[in-house]
Amino acid sequence: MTWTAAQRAVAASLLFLLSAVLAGMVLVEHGVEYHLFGLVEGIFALLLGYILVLRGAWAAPSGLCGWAAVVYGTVATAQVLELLFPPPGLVQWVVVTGVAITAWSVFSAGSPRRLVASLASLAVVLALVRYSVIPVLWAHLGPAQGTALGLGDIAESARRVFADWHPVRPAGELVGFVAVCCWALATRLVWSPRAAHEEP
Amino acid sequence: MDTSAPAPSPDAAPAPAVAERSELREPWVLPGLAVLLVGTVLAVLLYRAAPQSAAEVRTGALVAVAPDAFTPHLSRARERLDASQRARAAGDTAAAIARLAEGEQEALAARQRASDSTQVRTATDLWANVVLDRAELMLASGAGPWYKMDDDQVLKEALTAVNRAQEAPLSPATKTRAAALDERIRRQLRPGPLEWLPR
Repeated sequence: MTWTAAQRAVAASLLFLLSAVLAGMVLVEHGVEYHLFGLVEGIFALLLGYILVLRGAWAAPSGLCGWAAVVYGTVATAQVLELLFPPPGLVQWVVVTGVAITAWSVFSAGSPRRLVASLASLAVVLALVRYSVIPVLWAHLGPAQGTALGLGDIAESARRVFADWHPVRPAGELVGFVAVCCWALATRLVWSPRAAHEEP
Repeated sequence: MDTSAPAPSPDAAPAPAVAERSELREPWVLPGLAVLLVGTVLAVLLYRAAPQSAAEVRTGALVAVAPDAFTPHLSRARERLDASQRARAAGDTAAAIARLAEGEQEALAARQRASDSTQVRTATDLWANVVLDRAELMLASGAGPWYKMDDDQVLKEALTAVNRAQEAPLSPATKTRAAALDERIRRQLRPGPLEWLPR
């Protein structure tokens, strides 16, 4: 069965919506938090959406269905960035500034396939920082809150300056992974014909 | 320049509006867009309500579907009670008190929609127990250890809540519980070491 461009765009919009919803649901230790992207993630998503369309990874929007796919794709990208960017604090400032400065030169060069590969590498690095580096440092940087005759509280304040991190359940990471999978599948659906004809 | 090429006919490429209409007529495009719209509304509602469990989603949906019925509000009140117990187990007293306040409202809503005396009794008893649970939590948070002052304001609010529950027609068990809690709060409100002395 061959899908038309409009059918692909609608299916991609639905997947982008699912991705956006799942990416914002964070399973913390006692309950569920619902995160909505902020200004940093929103502006970055606009930049990425523009580059994805410009490089042909997303088909250029035309008609209602095409525009719906791009709009939902941008929102889903912002939500996925909310999932992947480090929590607010010094670490986020350093990481986001670094990514923003290098984004244009890194992502605007090369073919759409290379662009998507670069994005995947960026996602791996961001996930590493947020879900591996920060939790490990958190566990080893000074005494726990409320212990060591007040020293733990000072250590907690210092840790919060670096990253305002809250532990998540392992299932929370799985939900985030499903959200990223939905984003990737949707991107594959709106893969531009121009990109499909490029060298492998 | 090749002049022999035929000039493009005016209807070779469809006009944008015509193309858009034809793309909407393709199989499952319109139903897909409708599902997308419904999904977007549901996502907004989900994020707005921020449910903490599947049970919260179910009872919230029940109240939304039948806001004027007795049973959905009663289920919602019981579910809020469970949510407060979860918050209390997690050590979040403020959240537990907030969940109980929501449960109180839902039980009251159920009582107002009761259609017979049995339903009135059930809703009233649930409401009173939620109020007493909240007062108990307020007593725990307002009573300081021996070297610290009690938070009299919180204790007085707890006492007012208990007295409010005592005014309603309660079952014997709930009445006994309310009387015991009333006694504990009044004792805690006594100045200094008098709170350890029998009245």
